[in-house]
Amino acid sequence: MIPGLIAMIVANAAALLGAHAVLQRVRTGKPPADLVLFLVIHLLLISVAVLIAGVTGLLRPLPLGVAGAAALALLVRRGEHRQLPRPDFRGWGAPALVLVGLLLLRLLLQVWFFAPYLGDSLSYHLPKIAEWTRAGGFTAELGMDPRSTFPAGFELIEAWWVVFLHHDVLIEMAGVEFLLLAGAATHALASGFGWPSRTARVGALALMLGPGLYFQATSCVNDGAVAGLILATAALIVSEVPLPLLLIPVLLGTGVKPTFLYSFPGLAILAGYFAGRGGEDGRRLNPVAAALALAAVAVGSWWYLRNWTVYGNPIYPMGAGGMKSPLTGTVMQRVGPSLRSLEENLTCFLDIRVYDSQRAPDALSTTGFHWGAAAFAIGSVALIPVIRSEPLFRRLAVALGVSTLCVFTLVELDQWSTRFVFALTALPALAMARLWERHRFAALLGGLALASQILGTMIPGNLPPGSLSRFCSSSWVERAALETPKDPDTVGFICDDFGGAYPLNRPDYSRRVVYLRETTPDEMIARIDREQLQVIFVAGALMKRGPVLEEATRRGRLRPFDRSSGKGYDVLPAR
Amino acid sequence: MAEPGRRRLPTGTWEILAAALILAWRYRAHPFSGLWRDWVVILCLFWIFTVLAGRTRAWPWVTGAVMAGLLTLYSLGQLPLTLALLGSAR
Repeated sequence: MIPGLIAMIVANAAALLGAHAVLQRVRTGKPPADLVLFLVIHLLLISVAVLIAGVTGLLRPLPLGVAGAAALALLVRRGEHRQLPRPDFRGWGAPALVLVGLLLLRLLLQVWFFAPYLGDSLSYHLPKIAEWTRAGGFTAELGMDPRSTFPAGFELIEAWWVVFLHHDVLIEMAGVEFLLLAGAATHALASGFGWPSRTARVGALALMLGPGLYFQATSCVNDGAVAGLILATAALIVSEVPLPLLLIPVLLGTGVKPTFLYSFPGLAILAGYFAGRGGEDGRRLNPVAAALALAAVAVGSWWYLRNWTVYGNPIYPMGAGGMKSPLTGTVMQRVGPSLRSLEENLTCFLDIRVYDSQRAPDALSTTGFHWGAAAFAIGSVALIPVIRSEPLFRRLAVALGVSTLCVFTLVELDQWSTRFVFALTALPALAMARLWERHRFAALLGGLALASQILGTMIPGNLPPGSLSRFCSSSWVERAALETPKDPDTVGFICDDFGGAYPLNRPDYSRRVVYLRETTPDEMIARIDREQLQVIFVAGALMKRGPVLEEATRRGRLRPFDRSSGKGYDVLPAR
Repeated sequence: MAEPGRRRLPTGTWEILAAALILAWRYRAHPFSGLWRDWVVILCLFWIFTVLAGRTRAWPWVTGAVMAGLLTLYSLGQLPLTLALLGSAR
């Protein structure tokens, strides 16, 4: 563990110093925009490092640590560390500094104490992280979830935070990086509108305390990352950075999730508003910026090219008819626009979801929007005078409004579909901040609303009952969403479509999970014997694969069990 | 260039028309008895008020009242759920 920790510190120092050194060569001279650029360059460098390490089979602490040490030595030799800026908190005031410090501390404690718990993460995003970490590189096995082949740009950053310790205790740091990016982008947008620093800080804080977006950061899901990258793109457009640099968040977003592309028309409109305002500097090609753009192209297109090569379809498993449930055949996600989807999403959004009155806030915005009291009550009212009086803000409002309508047109209505439009919450956050500065009543009510959001962002609403006390009472080494059974170091796993297989790997990835896709009893038993499995865990109703297991049970090879750690089958020896 | 005889409607009039159109849609789509607590209706009425009285002394008071009302509406729906969650986590 200690060598891994040292490697993690060295590699992170190299990534941070490297990002700063690159920033020096492309900086805009506007500190808020430069902070956004720094963060996206940092994410790009990590993505490139994990991508190369994954492809070459060097996704291990030692090679990454050695590469980090070499890069760090080179950067220090060139004196890059002397260029680091000193933190400047003038004008913040002690109470604001203490509050922000406490909120950051709380966020880090949540990273530390929350183990991955969300069904989507355990089934769809994280099994591939476990496979990569165990193998030290990218693997063909990605888990049984039909969505596991979707773009994994966010998982690259998650892999960075688990590979060094060979443990998932810090995995939520990936989400935190994107939450900070969203906050920095909101700050840069306000600065780009010419608003005072204090207003920009209030806007950033209001956005980051939006419960849905906040819990995305600590729940290992990627919609918060998409929102962060949409806002980063918008901030860089408003700050009039050259096109190659704009491509960095655009392509990172494309590589995280196609919903980023669904939002793209709004961003294109915003870019159209600001086109040609970059001046002479904006038109001159900076070779460093061009190299960054090329790297972003590689990171953003990788997953689509892989799917094209392996499955003959860049958006596999989506086909012309969208993606259907392997179990029920119902359309889970559509391809192409639909006015019916727009009407359903918009109606549900305005009639039900904006009120957040169905459930406590969670990362998936289940049956709500989970944008918080400040956005609903203060920010939305503030939008009216601010849109009327601020032309630059009006452009952003049009852009994010169009993006939201495009997303609603392109996704099926389900219980969780509003999580795709988290970027929209930047509008009420900024509008509230603008009125906060001008009217005491707005500051008072906004403060009250944000205080309620601090309360609302303590525990995600969909944390399974009893999890929090278990997280807090168990040692970090074995902290997991499920009680990890003391079973063998290799177990089988079966589900029909979605099943949270990830915790079976154990938090330190010490257990191998064999995904059993066999469709006949003979094939299944042969695979069980070949892999020398003693235990098989199952998830879901198993309407498709259940008969196979029943037949294997009838033949005396399996015996069902139902423990606190999950349901499954003990494998019995052949008679 | 506009013809001398034709007058353009002031921007505020267009805004009021747009807000009224949205109000008509909400009226058509929802029972009248529930419209007093409809977020869209409240915002549209506030929009019209802002166009008509945005520069009056009453505007900050009305704005504060609308915000406080919406904060109450949101809190009544959301806060019990959050408090129940925090209570159950002990």
